[in-house]
Amino acid sequence: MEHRATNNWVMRAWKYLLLPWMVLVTVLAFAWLKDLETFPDPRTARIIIWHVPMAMLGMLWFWVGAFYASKYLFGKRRGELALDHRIVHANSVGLTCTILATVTGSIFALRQWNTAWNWDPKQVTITVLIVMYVAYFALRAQMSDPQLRGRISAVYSIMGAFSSIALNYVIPNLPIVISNHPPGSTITGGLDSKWRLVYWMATFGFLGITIWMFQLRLRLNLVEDRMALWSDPISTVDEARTEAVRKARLEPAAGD
Amino acid sequence: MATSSSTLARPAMAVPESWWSEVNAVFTKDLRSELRTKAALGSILAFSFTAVVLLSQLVVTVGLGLTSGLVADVNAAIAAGRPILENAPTQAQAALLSSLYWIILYFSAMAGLPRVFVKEEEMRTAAVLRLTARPSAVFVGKLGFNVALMVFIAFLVLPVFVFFFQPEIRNWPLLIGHLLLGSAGLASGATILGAMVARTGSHGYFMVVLGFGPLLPILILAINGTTAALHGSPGNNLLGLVSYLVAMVVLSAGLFERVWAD
Repeated sequence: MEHRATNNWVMRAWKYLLLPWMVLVTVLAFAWLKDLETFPDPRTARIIIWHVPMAMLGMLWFWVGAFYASKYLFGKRRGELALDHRIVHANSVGLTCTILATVTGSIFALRQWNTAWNWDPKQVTITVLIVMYVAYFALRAQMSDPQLRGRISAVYSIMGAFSSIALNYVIPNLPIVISNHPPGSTITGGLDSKWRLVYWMATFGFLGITIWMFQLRLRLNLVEDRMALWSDPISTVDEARTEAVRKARLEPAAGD
Repeated sequence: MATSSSTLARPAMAVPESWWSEVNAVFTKDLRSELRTKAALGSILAFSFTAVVLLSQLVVTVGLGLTSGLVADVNAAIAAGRPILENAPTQAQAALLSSLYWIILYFSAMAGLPRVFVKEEEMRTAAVLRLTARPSAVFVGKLGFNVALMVFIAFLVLPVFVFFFQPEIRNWPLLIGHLLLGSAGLASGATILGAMVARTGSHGYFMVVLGFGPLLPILILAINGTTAALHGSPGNNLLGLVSYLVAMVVLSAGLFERVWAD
């Protein structure tokens, strides 16, 4: 079945391990790790294991979107619709992760700082990041020509990825900016080795979940392209893929 | 006959202009059409002046905590029997005034700066511009025009702002520096975003939403720096503004051709 990334079941098996992995991470976070005494409310500081990986993964996926955008604009496969799909899905996965980081951060703040939202600089900048990527999807909705839409939104995606660095890492760490967030990063600072182990396990687990989300959305696009082909051959599907799929329908797929 | 065929083959205007003369041509054309119609300038200034007058009437910028505040060392003043309140503008007033000023500038920029591309699409001159000038020359010419326009607006709004709000400006050179760099940064971001908005054919309000993300760091740095300049506090954001400006210009220079090309 040609819509799988690979027919090798071993390489597909990792997705089935994600659920036990995340269950293990959750159990370890609550049962094995001790409370973090450096926080005002030590028991609920565990939410770091969910909050910080989401923020990092959000930025990572925005950069994946910018990577595909630079290939779409400047690479050899310039203007290919498949790349456009990848940019959109990478940005939507990144936006999901960023929104989850904001929500978990708000729950965290409710416990640690006694207020769900107090416009701390990092809260401001993550809100701006969310607005920026919601504007990305609004920008896409304004244009109907697929080529123009792909190009303009790819340019905005690259600008967005660079801005995300300025917003998440530069602005909150400026000397003029006073923040309630603890300084430094979780990678280098303050956590002992047990915490760091569970933290990185969680990060890899979430990375796996987001990669799976990304692949599922791409496969959904493939199915939609085929449905468009059946209903209306002259649609917004790109010609190379139309030809390839038509050929595949005429010749029975090997070893289906 | 090599000479005659080559003379026939080359039309008179095929000599490539130098890049700088193309940039100059784009800049001068925009400047002349702006001076003739004053469309963008008029709308920006109308918005800014109205906003300044309205805000100066509605927003409270004098009073306890704004123009009079606690002295720096309260305990020493109590011990010495001196009054603990003094009539000097506080940091809070400086922050309030600089935020108002930059918000007015930001919305004026978002309303007025994309016009430089939108009017090309509206007047159907965009195709001619694409044919006659190199994309990099178009970008630098329009960028120069937007920066000049924004700096002009910033320094035109400043006296009106000072007249209505009566701020006490303690560090003039720093204030001028932040206004220059901040307005140049806003203009450079608005150039590429304006080119994108012009291609979508959407309404003007979309520019505000689109510009919010990339331009917020400039706003934050400019507002903070202007606060320090008004209040006379140490520290400035000039280096941060310069770096963001350079990064924005380099990034948009690389991306502009993809937005502009058909």
